[in-house]
This record gives sequence, C-alpha cells and structure tokens, in this order.
Amino acid sequence: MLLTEAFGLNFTQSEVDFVIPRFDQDLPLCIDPFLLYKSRDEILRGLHTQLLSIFNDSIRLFREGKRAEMDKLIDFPEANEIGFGYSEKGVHGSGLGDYLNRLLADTLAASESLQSRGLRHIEELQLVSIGVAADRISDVAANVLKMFLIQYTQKQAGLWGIPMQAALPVNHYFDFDDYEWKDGYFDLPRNTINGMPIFLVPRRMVRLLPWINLEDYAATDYRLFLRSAGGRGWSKFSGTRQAKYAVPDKTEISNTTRANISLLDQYVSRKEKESPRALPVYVDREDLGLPTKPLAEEFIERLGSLPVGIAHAKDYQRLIYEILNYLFEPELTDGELEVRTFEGTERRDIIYTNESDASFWQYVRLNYGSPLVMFEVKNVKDLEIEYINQTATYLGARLGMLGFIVTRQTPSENIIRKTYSVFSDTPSIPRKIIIILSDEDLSTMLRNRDAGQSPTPTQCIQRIYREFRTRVQ
Amino acid sequence: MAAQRRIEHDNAEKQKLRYDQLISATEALYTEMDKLTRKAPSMTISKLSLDRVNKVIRSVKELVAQDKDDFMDEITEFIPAGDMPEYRDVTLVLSQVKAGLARFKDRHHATWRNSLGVF
Repeated sequence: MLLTEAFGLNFTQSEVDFVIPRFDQDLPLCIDPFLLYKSRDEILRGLHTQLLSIFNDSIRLFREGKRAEMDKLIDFPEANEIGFGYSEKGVHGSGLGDYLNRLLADTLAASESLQSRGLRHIEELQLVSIGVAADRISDVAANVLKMFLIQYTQKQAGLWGIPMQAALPVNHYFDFDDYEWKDGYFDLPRNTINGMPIFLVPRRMVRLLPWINLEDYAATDYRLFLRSAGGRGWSKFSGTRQAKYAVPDKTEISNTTRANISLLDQYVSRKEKESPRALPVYVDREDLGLPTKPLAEEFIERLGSLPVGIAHAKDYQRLIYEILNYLFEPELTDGELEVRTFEGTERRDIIYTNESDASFWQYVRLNYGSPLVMFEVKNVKDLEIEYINQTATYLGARLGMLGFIVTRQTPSENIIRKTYSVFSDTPSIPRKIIIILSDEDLSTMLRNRDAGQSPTPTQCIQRIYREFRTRVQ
Repeated sequence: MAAQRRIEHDNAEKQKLRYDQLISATEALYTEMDKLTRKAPSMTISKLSLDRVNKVIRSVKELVAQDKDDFMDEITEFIPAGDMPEYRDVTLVLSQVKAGLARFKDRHHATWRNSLGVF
C-alpha cells in the first residue's frame, strides 16, 4: 500500500520531490551518499561532510585505542522509517548495530594504510569490508541524515497535505551539536500498517545502487588491476569464455584492496571525475510500482478553468508549481513556494535547486552564476512593465542572472522590448535575462512530455531562450 | 576641403584594415571548419572554437552594420544554451559570412581605390 492510497491523496510520483513510500514493502532503492557529495545544494554537501566526519573520527579513535568511544559513534540500526531495502519480506532488514563496529575495527586492523588515509566516501566500505553492502550504506546515511529527513518530511507534508501525527518517537538520530546519538519525539506522518513514523526521502539522493559500488569496482578497476598483476582471480579464467563473466570473490576483493589502497584511490578518483553521470533514479520507472500517469490534459484543463485575477493568484501559483515539478523534476529539484529573503522584505514565488548535469539547465547553472532558478508567477491578463522591473531587481548574485515569469498570455511586444532593455542595461556579464512563459508554452511542454516527443520541455525552454538571445543581439 | 579628404582617407583606411583582418580570420576559420565538416559533419564544435566563430560573426556584423544587407542581418551568433552546434551548420554560416564580406568589399572597393589607391 502506497502512502497516497493510505491517506487518500491524489498526487503522483511525477509531481513530487520525494519518493512516495510503500507501507507494506521496502522499495528496492538506496540513499546514495555520492549524490550528496556532488550536489550543488550547500546543505546536502554539508550533510556529506558530516556523514564522513563520523567515520573519520571513528578511525581516529581506533588509532588512539579508544575503542569504547568508537563503538558509541559507529552505531547504525536499520532506518525502517525510509522504507528502502532489498529484502522482499516487508520493511525490516538486518540493520547495522554492533556488527559494523566489529567490521570496521577488523577492516582498520587489517589495513594500516586505510587508517592513515581515512575515508573519502563511506561507500568505500563496500570495497574493503566483506559485511557492508549497498543497503547498509543506505542505512548508515539514513541514520546520520535523520534530522534533515525529519525537517524535509515536515516541509513536504505541509506542501502536499500529508497528515502528521504529533510526537511520534524517533529512535537514534545524530545530534551534531552534542555529537552523539539521541532519541526524540517529532511530528511526522505515520505508517498505517506498522505504526512507525515515516521519513520522506528526496528523489535527488536516491539511486538503485550507490554510484560507488562493489559490482562496478569488480568489473572495472579491480579486474584491470588483476589483469596487470596476473592475479589469481583473473588468471584462473584467463583465455576462457568465463573470463568475461567471472565475478571475483568478495573476500578476495576486500583483502586485495586493503593491501593496495592506491587501487581504491584510483577507482574513487575516476568515479568522482565521472560524477556528472551519477544521476538520481528516475522514479517514474514502471518496475518500481510507484504511481505515475500522464497528467498533461488534466493540467491543461485546470489551467483553462482557473480564472485570471488576484483572487486566484495563490491557486495559479500552486498549479504552476505542480506543473513545473511535473515538467522538470529531477533536473530542477526541491521546489519551494513563497521563499522569503533573509531579511523577510521580499518574496519569490517559486525557487528550485538546479541539479542538472546535462542539457540547457546545466548551461544555465554554469553561465548564470547560481544553483537556484527563480519563477515569478503572475495570474494577470496582461503583464505590466512593473512586473519586469520587479523580477529584474530579484536577479543578482544569489539567484543568478536568469529568471522566469510565468503568466496567462503571450506578452505584448512592449513587454518583450522591456525584457531586452533589462538585458542591454545590465552593466556586467552575464546580463540579466527574463524569460516569459505563457500558459500556451506550458501546454505545449506538457503535451510533448506525455507524448515523449521532441522538443522536450527542456528543449522548449532552450528554444525560447535562444530566441530571446538571438533577437536581442 | 583637404581636411574633409583627410577624414575620408582615414575612415577608408580604418575600414580597409578591419576588412583585411576579418577576411583573414574568417578564411582561416572557414578552412579549419570545412576540414572538420568533411571528416565528421554531425560532430559538435568545442566551446573554444565556437567562441572564435562567434567573435568573427559579431565583428563582421559590426563592420557591415551601416550597409543594407538582408542576408548578413539574418546571421546571428550561435547560442549553444547547453547544446553545441554541429560543424556542418557552423561551416554553412561561415560561408555566408565570407560571402557577406565579399559583398561588402564590392560595395566599398571604389571608395578604397579613390581614397587609398588600392586596386
């Protein structure tokens, strides 16, 4: 049973920023810490640093002989609240309690070079320790990220009307202020089947397998290493058809890697370089069984029936938010409505984090100086000059120099000329660009998305952008 | 009268110098792009090459701006916006730029000859 079914909610996976959890079964997904590492969101990168700091502190404690303190730190029970895992029996797996202490201690004892090097990514544990697999990496990450996930869940529950229950017990979250594990009570949605609290997990940190994983390592760098060293794992199959498919034994991989830490470094450096290819899972894949359906016509109908005017400004803003989620997740993620500036004096309608590693959105991030993308939403028949001026003032160092206005109708030539003059009057490079999208543009993008035809929504925006730049030359 | 002639001479000289620079840069780029187009027409151009091409387009458009040339007016810089153009498109545009420069020369050649004695 899905969360949407349990609570009678009608959103689908394509519209929301989080993975819709199942209450009766784990989803075969994992939190991949590498996606935190490569994120453009400072908060997520900070979480990766924190995650790593726990392990590197543990390694330091091990070297100093403070085993009891290390044991206290390395304590990762299964995070059932996220509902991820590869077990088929339900939402309970094995977890990582005392077992990981021993594993980590054994691993460190067997490799002095690992002690001095520390960890660059916690996923490396899969390659040097036989007891750590992909789902355990996910559990480790979930334990450390619990506070973030709690706050994220509360925010998303508010946005999408997911009912929360007051003061549900949450075991074992890490308090970085006191630097220790704690238990607490938080307002969270509740699993109607097992009564446990639910954490929603952002799509942008989820993959089917971690980017750094044992199977990949065994098939690439480790295999090449064996071939060049003439090692047993390779040579016993060498020259036979089996060589292509032979999977080396995990114990052998761990032992070899512990003894050759440079091999680990080489593999991890390569994976870091290839990070643009490390993408979050597209959760609308049918085999995951998450609720998806074509929504273009439904959205277009809603656009058509929503009256123009201030009285319906909020409804229009909300509808545009849902449409943008549908069109651009997961390239644009973590959309926020009504974002106030630090001083609270100004308010932006919708802001997304631009996590794209390809296409037009990557170009925008690299060329317009910000990982954020702003959309101003105007439920008016005709745009006025003052809206353009207002949006132009929002553009700058924090939000970057490219912003969007979404409005009901194609703007007049007068308004378009005003956007050109904003561009021309910007004294610095890149110049400010305001792209105006109308309901008609959105309808085209929606229909193309559902039909899976070119131009895709991103290509549509790219085309509008090019038209702007060409005309303004 | 002499002062007027001096100004005309200076303007013609500047224009001719700029023309010579641009025809040389355009020819060089066109030759390279043409080679690459023959080899891999649908391959996309690099950022550095595109910057050079865009600079040539921008400069040629500035030079011919006061002349009435519809075909040159229609040529615009490439805006990659995430997807670089293919060699064959770049070569096509550079050939149009070359042709535009040739038309520019035809229009101004008489002035250059009179003012500078160029043949």
